[in-house]
Amino acid sequence: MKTRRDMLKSAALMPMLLLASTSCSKPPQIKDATFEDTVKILLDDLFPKTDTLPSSSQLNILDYINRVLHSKFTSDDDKLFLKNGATWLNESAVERFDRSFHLLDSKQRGLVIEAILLKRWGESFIISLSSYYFEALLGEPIYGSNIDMVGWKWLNHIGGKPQPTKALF
Amino acid sequence: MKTFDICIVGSGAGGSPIAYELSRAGFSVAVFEKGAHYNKTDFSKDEIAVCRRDIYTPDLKDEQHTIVTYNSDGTEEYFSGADEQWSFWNGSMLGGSSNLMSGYFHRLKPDDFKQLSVYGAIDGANVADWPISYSDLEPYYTKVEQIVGVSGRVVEHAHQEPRSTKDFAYPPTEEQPMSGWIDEACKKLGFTSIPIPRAILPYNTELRDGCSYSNFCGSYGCATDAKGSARAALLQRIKYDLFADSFVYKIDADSKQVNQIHYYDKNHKSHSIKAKIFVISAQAHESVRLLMNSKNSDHPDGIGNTHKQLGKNLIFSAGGSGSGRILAKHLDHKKRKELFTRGLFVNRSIQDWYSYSKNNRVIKGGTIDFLYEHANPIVRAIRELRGNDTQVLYGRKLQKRLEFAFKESRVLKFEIFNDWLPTDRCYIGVDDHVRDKFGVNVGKLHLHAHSQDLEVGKYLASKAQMVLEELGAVEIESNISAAPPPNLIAGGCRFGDDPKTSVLDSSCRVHGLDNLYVCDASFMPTGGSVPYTWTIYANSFRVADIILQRLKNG
Ligand SMILES: Cc1cc2nc3c(=O)[nH]c(=O)nc-3n(C[C@H](O)[C@H](O)[C@H](O)COP(=O)(O)OP(=O)(O)OC[C@H]3O[C@@H](n4cnc5c(N)ncnc54)[C@H](O)[C@@H]3O)c2cc1C
Ligand code: SF4
Repeated sequence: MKTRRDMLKSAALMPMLLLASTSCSKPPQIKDATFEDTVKILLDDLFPKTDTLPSSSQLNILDYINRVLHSKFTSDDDKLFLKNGATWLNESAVERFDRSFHLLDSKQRGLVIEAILLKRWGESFIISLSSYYFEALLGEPIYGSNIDMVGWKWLNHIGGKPQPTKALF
Repeated sequence: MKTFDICIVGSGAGGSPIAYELSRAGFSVAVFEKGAHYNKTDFSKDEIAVCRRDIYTPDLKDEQHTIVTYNSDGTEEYFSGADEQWSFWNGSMLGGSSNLMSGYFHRLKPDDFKQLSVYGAIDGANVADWPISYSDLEPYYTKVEQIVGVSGRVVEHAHQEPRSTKDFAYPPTEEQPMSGWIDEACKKLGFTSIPIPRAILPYNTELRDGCSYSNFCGSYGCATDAKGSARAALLQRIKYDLFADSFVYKIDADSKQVNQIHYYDKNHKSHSIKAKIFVISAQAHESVRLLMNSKNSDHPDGIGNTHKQLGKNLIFSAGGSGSGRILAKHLDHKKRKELFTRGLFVNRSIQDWYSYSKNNRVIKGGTIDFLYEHANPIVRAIRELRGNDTQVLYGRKLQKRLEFAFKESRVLKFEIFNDWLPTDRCYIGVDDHVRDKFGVNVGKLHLHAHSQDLEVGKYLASKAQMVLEELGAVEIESNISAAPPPNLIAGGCRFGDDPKTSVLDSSCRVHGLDNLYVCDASFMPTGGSVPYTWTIYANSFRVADIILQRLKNG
């Protein structure tokens, strides 16, 4: 029987081996890189600030993602994958540039992103994070990130009526 | 314990017409619904809650289906719905999935009732004639137009079904200018475009408001009650005893009749209810599961399964969908404005190939419906992650793609509905090894599509693509596959005159059991080439009349 969990596990295998081989001499930077450090800067790379669109930090996207991570509506698999993705991204950064992702300059970060997009787990991780970004940016303003409907205005979208009076999580 | 005149399991499109008619005739009615009781004021257009977190369907960890598919060498592949996040739930709430439907309503055609006689036997398929004809159901289609509320406009075409009334009970909902563009394109191609009837009220009535063109219809509950859900159109107009959050897990039947049913309440506490007549309408696959899980010494293989027909000939709506992108830059100012007009419905359909000839054989074809891509911005944005390429986009490239997708173009979709031929390999049983949160064995679906389903789907998609080309669309694609749409499910309790080849008689009563009816889409021997809900409603009104007569006669 094929399961999605197996898929995630097998996708996880490669970076796990990598982690084993480098764990004895792990540079201090990787220990210091929290999930927040990594995802904050990654989001800015994936969705840069523009004239019409504030940065992810200005939109509290990380707060939304933290809520997703603590919500009963997110499966344990999905939570784990999001966290592992950030760890594996850092490992890729260390492997290539000897520093964790958030300490790299933007060109180096771009190279790491391009590299992980070639891997199955990397592509899934970027898709997953981007999907949560879209939830935050294009979901109902009540969830906290689509401030003043900035996401909808950016894309000329008009929300459905009636709007919810309470966020699900 | 009170004995009800009638007890109905499942409050959706199948069960509610019976509750409606029986209650209005003064009989005591109990309705069991495993989901919650929502009203229109509970509904909003929260995409995160409704579409991304599926709040109206059970958590697959608690309740799932298991699924078997076939590899090309004939071996079976088994999937856990929970592990795969493969859901066959459609809406667990008062009114069932009819709350969430888009309300594209088509009647079946007379030939749909006699497919075996008209089109002949097909290798590997169990095509059968129905024990009733179109003319038996026509008055009830009309009743649905009037009571549930179907809006539309009759346009004569080669496959127009006979009607007892000149026009629809309600005029069409307001149309998006794209409807006119499609009409023009079809005219040039020699195709006949027809307005799609919708189970949506165009204006206010006594109890229900007209459509507010909220821009978010399918998958969402309707906050105006304009949508003809079983709850809005029927249940809220009658007096009955509602048992919400109540999951019926067993039917107690002896060799002649059903005596009571058992259910779990919200706190998983078991109770029983007695009635003179029982109706199961839990949606096709779940009705079969309940009958199978109710086996006892009188019904060792499950109720209605004396001749091993229960669960057989499960069908879906075959076909698939496709789309093309209309670019604003090709349009003048007026047409650009028209392209982006929001809320209103496209409502255009083509049925020119409901049957067609190929190699001197008449083949059962189907229906093409056109509609705009759903307004859901999150889902649309996620779809653009790969742009029109295979590589995942990010950064400015992605932002530019989104601006193009949302602001400089609009996606026109089509959906194809053709017959999913009934076969021996597509059926539902129960999984002896997997239980739900109540400890009840879950349904196990065996999925198989006949090769003709795909051929017909592709043929129709090629015609739909011609319309998109004529409209100047780019990025035209279609996806016709053997993947079953879980929301358009039928069969499993075929009705017929011969108990050896059917589960129900022509009145949808279980062969051999005096007081048990099954009334959702499970009765259908063949699906027809349209979505099912108008037919489900109509048949249930027909069965309601039969039960009513019976109760009146004592
Ligand atoms: C998003 C979406 C869009 C759709 N669009 C269209 C459309 O445009 N046109 C169209 O024709 N059809 C459409 N449909 C399909 C339509 O909703 C169904 O065909 C129709 O509602 C089926 O009626 P039913 O009575 O069989 O099932 P439902 O309406 O789903 O009702 C079954 C009810 O039984 C309850 N139940 C199940 N098991 C038990 C149990 N053991 N005990 C107690 N209660 C139980 C369920 O919770 C449910 O409420 C759509 C469906 C969805 C989800
Ligand atoms: S108001 Fe109209 S568009 Fe909105 S959900 Fe109801 S029927 Fe659909």
